[in-house]
Amino acid sequence: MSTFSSLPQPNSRFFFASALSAILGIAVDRLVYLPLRKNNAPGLVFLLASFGVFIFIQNLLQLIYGAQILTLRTGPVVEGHQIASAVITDIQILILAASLILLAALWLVIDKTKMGKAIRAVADDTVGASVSGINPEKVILYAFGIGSALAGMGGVLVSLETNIEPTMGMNAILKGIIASIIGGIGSIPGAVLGGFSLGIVENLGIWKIQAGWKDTIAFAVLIIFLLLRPEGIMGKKTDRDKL
Amino acid sequence: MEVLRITNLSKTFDGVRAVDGLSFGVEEGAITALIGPNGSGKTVTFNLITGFYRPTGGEICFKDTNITRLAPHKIFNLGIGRTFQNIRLFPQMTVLENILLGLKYNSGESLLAAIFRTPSMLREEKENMQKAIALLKTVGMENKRDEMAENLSYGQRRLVEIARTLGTDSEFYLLDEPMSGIFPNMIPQLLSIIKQLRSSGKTVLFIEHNMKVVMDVSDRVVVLNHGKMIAAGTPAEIQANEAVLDAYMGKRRMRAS
Amino acid sequence: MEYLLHILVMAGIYIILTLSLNLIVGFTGLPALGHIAFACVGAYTSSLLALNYGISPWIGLMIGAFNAALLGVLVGAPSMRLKGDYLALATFGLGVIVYSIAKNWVDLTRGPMGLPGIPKFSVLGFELQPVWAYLLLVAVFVFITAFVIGRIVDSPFGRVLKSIREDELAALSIGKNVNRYKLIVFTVGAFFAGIAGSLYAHYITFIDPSSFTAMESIAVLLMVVFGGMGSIGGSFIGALVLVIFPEMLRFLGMPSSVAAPLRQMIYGLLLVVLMLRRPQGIIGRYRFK
Repeated sequence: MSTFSSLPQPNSRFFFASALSAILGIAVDRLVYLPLRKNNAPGLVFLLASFGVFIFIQNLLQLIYGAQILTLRTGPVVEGHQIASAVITDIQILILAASLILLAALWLVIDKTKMGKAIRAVADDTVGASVSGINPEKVILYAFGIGSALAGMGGVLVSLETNIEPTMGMNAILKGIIASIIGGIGSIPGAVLGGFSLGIVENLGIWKIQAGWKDTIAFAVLIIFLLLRPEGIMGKKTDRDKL
Repeated sequence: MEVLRITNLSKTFDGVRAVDGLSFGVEEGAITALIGPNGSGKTVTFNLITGFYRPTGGEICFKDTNITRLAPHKIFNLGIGRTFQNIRLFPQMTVLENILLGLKYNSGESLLAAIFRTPSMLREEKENMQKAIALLKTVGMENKRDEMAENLSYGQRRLVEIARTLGTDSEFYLLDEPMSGIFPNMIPQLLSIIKQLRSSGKTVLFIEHNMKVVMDVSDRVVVLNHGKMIAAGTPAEIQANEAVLDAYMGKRRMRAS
Repeated sequence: MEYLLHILVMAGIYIILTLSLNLIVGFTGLPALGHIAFACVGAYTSSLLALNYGISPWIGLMIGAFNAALLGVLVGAPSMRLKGDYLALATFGLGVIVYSIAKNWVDLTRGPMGLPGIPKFSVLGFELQPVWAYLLLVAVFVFITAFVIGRIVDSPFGRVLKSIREDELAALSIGKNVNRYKLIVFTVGAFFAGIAGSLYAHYITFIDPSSFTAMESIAVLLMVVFGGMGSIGGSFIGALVLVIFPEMLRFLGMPSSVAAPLRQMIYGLLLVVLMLRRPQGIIGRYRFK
């Protein structure tokens, strides 16, 4: 509990965490994914390597901080606001507002800036993009930086509401993947929709059955989507041709 | 008699009509060439016939069966074998294994036959081994039987793929540019293989850019442009056809004659 | 000595898991990330049959393996048409769901409390109490698994599997019913994983959901990749090295709060280095695409 108290105040912690995440993300890309891209490695190799990175970092955190649960409370527990039959706390409002601002910023960057256009071009067709004068490696570097910084900020926001432990990452990754598949990969409104839908379905589900079934519900939803609508709610329906 | 009938076939990719209301038939026991400028929809038509693409509209009938939306392996099992323009071998398997995979197995490719090493499976395997070696001989590749397919040259891979397809013993063969990348000294051999297929009652539809080859072996020629059929007839008729000359104008002059 | 035999028993159980996953991932090229789910089904089936109905572990093992295979069919039939990454996700999801059922269906599985007092195997009325006796039993099952899977891959059937791994479309073009082959392989793999799970349960005599986490599936996959995809000998090496090696950390006198994460870190680092330097594994030759 005292681990973080030596650090500066909440706002600067926020930026410290996201900067650290961005650096870590870029470092992993340079050390692991860049050589794999150069080897023209297949998808499964990337997947396994990223699992390796994940396992390594998670256990490094466990080695440093121990497996115990840390709490990051910024003030005394206060009563929330009553809205209809729901209760929402100040912190929850803060998390919601911060998420919306970050989303809007991400959407602006991806949709309006030159770098955003370059990111989309590389995602769409790497060779085509590099022919038209975009340096894919530079773009990937930025994408990793932005993506990792956002993940870091997401981590801080989560820690305001719940306890933190080294193993919390797995769940976040999985829920993130599930939400983006439900919403449609490559679509920011889809990601928002997917995230909210998943949260709502999970929590409606455990309203009737025990809370432990949350993951089961999430993965059941994922499998249903994979089988029936793999392109997600907002994703473009790709031609299901084989060649 | 027609063995294949294509009616009003179309295929759209992201709004681009690759095949656009195409209709033609293929005569049984004949060699038909499918020609046309680059991007005229020849390979797309092959992929539609063999079930690798789903048509946007239209119908494909093989003999009396509507095969329009069948899965590729089911279409194959009706007697339609094919090769690919960009050659699809199994790269990290030997040449011999590649050929064996094309041959017919009655019981040998089942799980129980594998676990119990049934005598019928072993016999079938032995017979097929002989057939595979014979096939490799017809394309002059018997000395490469234990080589990994990925280590072959482009032309050699093309020959192995043709041998694999010949081994399927199909009724109807679709060959996508079988001569491309082949050493010139092998071309007469390949042409005689194709003619042999005809004399044993098989049907061949092939895509080819070399007009000399087209004029030499085909009984009929079908010409595509912009996804439509613009002409069909005997090689002589096609050579004299104005529309065909227009289609090729500025792209590729007909070099034969 | 006892301890060494114990490690070998565990290695044997992992060899069965690794071989069965190699059939799916290495020989057929299907990215399956939830293999431990089938071991979980095998383990719980035969343990519950033995504890609740007094059914012999021998029969329980067979029923457990069949149950695992049944799950393989039920999950495999709809998901075999999924491509690459999506299949990986669906199978990973399967792993999480089965784990979550083991943890939350408390009435059946006792949830996190686990199932204690699972009986051991008996031969002619004698319980296989000593570890060496159990090692013999596991060795027999390792032999059966290696024999059956070895024959499967070294046959015309196995040739079709490899062709699917190499180029699924080309396999379709020569009439192979690709999805059917995939489903058969997935089911056979599940069957042997079920056996491994049941062997584990009747050896340790206690199971709880924590033995069947998603990380465990990744560990088995690492063993497959480490030894070599599509290599039977590789699966032996992968399982032996990765079971025995971390045990050696204990002898360095580290407290478990350090040794456990350190072991995982080594796994993680090994996985990354392997993918960068030698994705075909220690003795594998097949480079996967």
